[in-house]
Amino acid sequence: MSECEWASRLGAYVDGELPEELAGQVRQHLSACANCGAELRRLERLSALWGALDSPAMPARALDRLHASVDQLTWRPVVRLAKAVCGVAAAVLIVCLSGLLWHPIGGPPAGEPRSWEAQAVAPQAADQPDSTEDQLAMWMVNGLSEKGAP
Amino acid sequence: MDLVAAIAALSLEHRQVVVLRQLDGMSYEQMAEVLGVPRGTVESRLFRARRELQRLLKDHCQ
Repeated sequence: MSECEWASRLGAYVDGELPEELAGQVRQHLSACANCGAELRRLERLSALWGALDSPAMPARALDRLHASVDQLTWRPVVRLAKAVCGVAAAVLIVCLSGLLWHPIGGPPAGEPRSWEAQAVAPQAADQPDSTEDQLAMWMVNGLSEKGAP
Repeated sequence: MDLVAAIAALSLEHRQVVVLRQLDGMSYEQMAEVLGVPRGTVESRLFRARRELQRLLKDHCQ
């Protein structure tokens, strides 16, 4: 038996995300369609599970991490433009300073990085999730990052 | 299976809409903007994600 064409709108109906006119059509349809009535009850039971089961409450730190990722996506075009501008500025700077390569004015020899340099590029251990709630947030952050990657 | 395990078993696309809607309380319009997809895509992904959650949590949803 093929599924009723209204079934896929029931989630938005339960969420209150349908325009009133469309929601009215769904209500009218529900009074006549047993399959959609059953689907609606299943959706309502699922909604109830979020409160009844061990529903994960997103801790503030995890939410901050998620929002930071969203902000990063929102600002990505601006960041891209800024990178382009910085690239041009860097090229100009390199040309201007190229003379110094021929006439060095002194400085520490290249070799082992200083301790602060090593610390600055070291991976951050704090990125590891430490709870299931954190893990949920990390899934979203990682997922959004993958989605927004150029 | 508990709710967290069921969410973990979802595909990335389905997990995204479930978490953004159920945990962060975003509207469909906000999710569409954040995910860079049309609103109708959000609605259909959420519908399929809930179907999958119902299957995974069938002991609780019957």
